Amino acid sequence: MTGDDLDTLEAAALASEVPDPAAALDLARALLRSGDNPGARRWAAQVASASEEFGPWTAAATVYGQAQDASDPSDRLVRLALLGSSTTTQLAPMLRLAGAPWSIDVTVSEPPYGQFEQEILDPSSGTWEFDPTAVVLAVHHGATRLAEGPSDDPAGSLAEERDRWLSLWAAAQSQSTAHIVQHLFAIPPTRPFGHLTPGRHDTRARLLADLNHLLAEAAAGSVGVVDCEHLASMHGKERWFDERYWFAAKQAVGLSALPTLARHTMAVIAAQMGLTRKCVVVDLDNTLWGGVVGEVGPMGVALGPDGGARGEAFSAFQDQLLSLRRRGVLLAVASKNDEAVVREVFETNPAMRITLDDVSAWEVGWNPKPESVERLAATLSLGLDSLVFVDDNPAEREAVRQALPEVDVVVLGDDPATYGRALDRYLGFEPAMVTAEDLGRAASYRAKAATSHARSTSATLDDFLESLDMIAEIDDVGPDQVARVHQLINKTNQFNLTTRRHDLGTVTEFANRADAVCLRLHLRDRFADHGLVAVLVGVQEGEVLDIDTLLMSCRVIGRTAETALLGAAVRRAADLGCTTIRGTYEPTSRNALVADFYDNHHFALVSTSDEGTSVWEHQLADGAAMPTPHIHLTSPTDP
Amino acid sequence: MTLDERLLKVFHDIFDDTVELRDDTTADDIEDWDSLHHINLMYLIEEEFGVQFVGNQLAEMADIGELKAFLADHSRRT
Repeated sequence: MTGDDLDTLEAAALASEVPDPAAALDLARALLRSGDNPGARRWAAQVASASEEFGPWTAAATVYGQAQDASDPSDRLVRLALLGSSTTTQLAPMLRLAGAPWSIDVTVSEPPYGQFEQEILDPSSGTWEFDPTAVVLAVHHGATRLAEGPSDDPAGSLAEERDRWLSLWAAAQSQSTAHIVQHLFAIPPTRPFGHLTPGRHDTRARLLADLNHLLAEAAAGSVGVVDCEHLASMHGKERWFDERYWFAAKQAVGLSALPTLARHTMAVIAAQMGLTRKCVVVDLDNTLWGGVVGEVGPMGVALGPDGGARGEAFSAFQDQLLSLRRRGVLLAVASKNDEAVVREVFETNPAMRITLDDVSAWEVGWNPKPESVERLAATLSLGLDSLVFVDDNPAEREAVRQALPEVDVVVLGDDPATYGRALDRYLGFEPAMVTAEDLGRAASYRAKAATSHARSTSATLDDFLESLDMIAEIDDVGPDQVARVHQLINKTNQFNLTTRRHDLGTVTEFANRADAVCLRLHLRDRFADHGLVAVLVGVQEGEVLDIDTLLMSCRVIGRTAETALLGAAVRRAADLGCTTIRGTYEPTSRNALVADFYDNHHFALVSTSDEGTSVWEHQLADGAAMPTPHIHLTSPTDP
Repeated sequence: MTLDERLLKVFHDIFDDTVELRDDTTADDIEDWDSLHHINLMYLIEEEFGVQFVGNQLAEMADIGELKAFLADHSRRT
């Protein structure tokens, strides 16, 4: 890559104010290869601001991650624990990229999905060991226990569900001062009750909507929420929900929606961190009204119904700015005009929505815009990083961008009808502050939940596990289960001690050998039958039972089912006349989760190879306890 | 762009722009091609070519030759 090549790529990327995502990506990659990591990150971030599509985002997120420079960290660091109820692997790198607009460096810890309750409730979990500054509950409707109607007691299920989440927040807050961010629930499109749905209290759609409202009210001032139902509607529910990717890869949110979800999640975290921008600085001519007031006069500007479609559009944009103003965002004006003429518009044009009282500071004159913006910041005693600049003129926007990089600039299109959307898309005004009334109401909700949680929900890991009413059936693998066992052996990556793949013939042989133990575990609880989810294969070598394979499906990690299975193997080993049971951990890129498995189960380390493979033994005579108090064990022959 | 060029562009977006494709290329030939990248790849191919993989095709695809044959038969988007 020569300097000329870089120049060509840069020219292509700079050809328009909002760069072509492909050109920005090419440049970011070239800069990464040339060793310019800060440049690569800057242009990867540009890709993310120019596009909200999955392809460019996932590519830019890769470059952004590779260009991370540990020696030059931002002073805004977020250690983000991403606790999902479905696959979060694609979302994690996008969250890092989505931190760029706030100069937030994000490090993500991502336990296997479906573990959010165990991770939060267990004080010694990997999540708390990671010492997060933000905990994101990236959950979807399937993580709730709200069933489709008809039902007799929808209010009861709703209250129980609300308390379950509130007690989870409380448990997280008792462990850590991290910001908690809850994804509210996007409501799936399937509606057995059709258009009767919103009128019935017991439909799942209605229950989820009610749950969203209850959680959002209770969260005020304490927990950040991401309104995924709104995001799903904006994105289009038929794309947000993509059943094919759910079945194939447990993606509860369609890949096309992940950039949006990442952006909004980071906006809520940024707001929690106090990074909400405080002031919008607006231009006047062709921003608040149509035309140049110095040429057409105070009554000649296009505004309101008399100004036709353009006039209506400017009025609507003024209304939108006013809603921000009423919510507490300051409004300031920076305009190249004669001040007297401008005042006259505000005072005499009846179509003006924004009044002089709404404007906190003025800079109207003939100074360069960046100077005006700086003065406004000084007048209002705000940092430049509290300001957002809104101007229809691309040259003014570029001047402010170059002179004052701390100021965010909203890019407006040519048509005033699109100004509102451009402002909507900008997320720097995401608020965290709420009124005293909101705070009081939220506190009373949480207090109510705290009293009811003692009887209806769980605050500790033990309580949680007990509440699941788990029943495990452990037995020999029979002819009916060989196919499922073979499938698990060949696809399980994370909870897999040896990751040894075996063909169907070998699995069948294990199941039939007299000198082998081939066990399967079937787990169900009060909410779901998880099916055949764990397998243990041990082969007798004299007085030793050697565990060839021990694995479990991700979805039941953290339930102590693995301990029950190992305990059963110990009993079988004794039946075979063995004195010792031996286990092996063979590390792969995916199974660090179980590195301490044997250590945690009272096995003694025998040897460790250069590749990190460790061999462990447990003497049956020691009779060490492998308690699984929360799992009721049964065998198929039990009545 | 030809089908080959469009497919290569998708691979470059997912992996790196140094990846090369032959008809007998499989997931084993590209270092980063794991189950995560496979899903991303299938998704972007669906978007680019306007196709929908059916059932297990989403999770399994033998080699690039098979993929190209499928795309040539099914692509509605050029």
